[in-house]
Formats: sequence, structure tokens, C-alpha cells
Amino acid sequence: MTGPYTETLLLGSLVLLLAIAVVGGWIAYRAGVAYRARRTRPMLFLGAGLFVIAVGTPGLWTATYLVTDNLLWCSLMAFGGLLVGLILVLSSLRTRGV
Amino acid sequence: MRFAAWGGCRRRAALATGRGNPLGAPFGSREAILQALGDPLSREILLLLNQSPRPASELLRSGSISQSTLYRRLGRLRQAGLIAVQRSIITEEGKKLDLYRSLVSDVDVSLRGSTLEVRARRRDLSAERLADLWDEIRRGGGR
Repeated sequence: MTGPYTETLLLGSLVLLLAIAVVGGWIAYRAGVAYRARRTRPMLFLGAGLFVIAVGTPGLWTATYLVTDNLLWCSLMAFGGLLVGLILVLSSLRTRGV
Repeated sequence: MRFAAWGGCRRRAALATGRGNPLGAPFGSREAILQALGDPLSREILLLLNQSPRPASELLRSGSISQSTLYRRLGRLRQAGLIAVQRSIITEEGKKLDLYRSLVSDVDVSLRGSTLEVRARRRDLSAERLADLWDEIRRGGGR
């Protein structure tokens, strides 16, 4: 896709992704602090899940792009990261244990 | 969404299994639910657990009953699928504490013609757990 808005769109997407990574990473960090205080499994799963979704997925996308230069692989890796994160977050809601 | 319904002797097994229950606790038989609701002490426990999650020690304090009686009633209510352990916490003394919670927000028992129906509405425990976790994150893990 080319055009006058392409760069703006790309830049906007990057800023948005960065914002999601920062906010999600911050919440994941806070969950990590809460986990250290109580050592409860649900908090561990929630923190790890949020971290994977917010920071892991964009990181995985970028790393895959740099290594393979293949957008299909990037999408597959990002999808995998999101799936793992979602499973972790859902696990935190299903786990009752300490 | 109504999850349990029976008409006369024909039990609708699919509706009685409690599929989708976040805690995986299946719902008991109609008789088990009616028996649990028929007992005044069990009813009192269920009403307390319907308000908020509570540990057994708190339930013990709220009524003049023995520990064995309380745990027997809790066992019956769990078998009937009306309560479950919502989550476990570690106290400041390092003791593990199970917080019990009612699994149903309301139960209707109705007699229509020759059929007795028991209908219960499931409580959304996942939403409550998420709210609990969010509160804990905001507090940084402290009480």
C-alpha cells in the first residue's frame, strides 16, 4: 500500500503498539510485584499472560521480521504469542489455588 | 442463563451437569439441592456465601455450631453444586485459607401441575476473580 497516509498510518500503528506494550508491561510488572508479595498462582498467570500479550507478541513479531523477513511467519508467531497469553490470562481466572 | 431444570422424573442430564462452570463443579441432583435448601443451617450458610466469599472460620463465628457440623454442611452444599471454593489465600501467618462462595445467584423452586422444577442461575465467578486480581494488583499484593 502506498500513498500520502501510509507513513502516518505506520507511525500511528507503531505508537499505538508501543503504548499498548508500555501500559500492558506496567500492569504485568505490578502483577509481578503482587505475586512476589503473596506467591499466588492466579496472579503469576495473569502477570505472565499480560506480559506475553503486551510485550512478548510485538517483540516476537519484530524478532521474526528481523530474522526471516517473512510477514507470514511474523503473523504466525504473533498469533501464537497472543494465544499463549490468552490461555495464561484465562488460566488465572480458572485457577483457585494458591 | 438458566442451567438446571427438571420436569417430574425426567431429568434433563445436559442441563444438570453444570458445564461451563468456571470451577468445574457439577451441579448435584434435584434431591441434593432440595435437601440442602430444606436444611435451615445449610440455607443460612448459603445465604452468607451468597453475600460474599467467606472462610469456614468466619462461618463458624457467625453461628453456634461445631466445626464438624459446619464442614458436613459445606460438604453437602458442595455436593449439591451450590457452593465451591472460589479461591485460596495465604494469611499473614502463612496459613492456607479456602474462601467459599455461592455458585448460584438465585434458585427457583416451583410446583406446576404434577411437576416440580428447580431452576438456578449461575453466578459469574470469573468476573469476581478478575476484579479480585485487579484489586490486588492495585494494592501491590498487600492487604
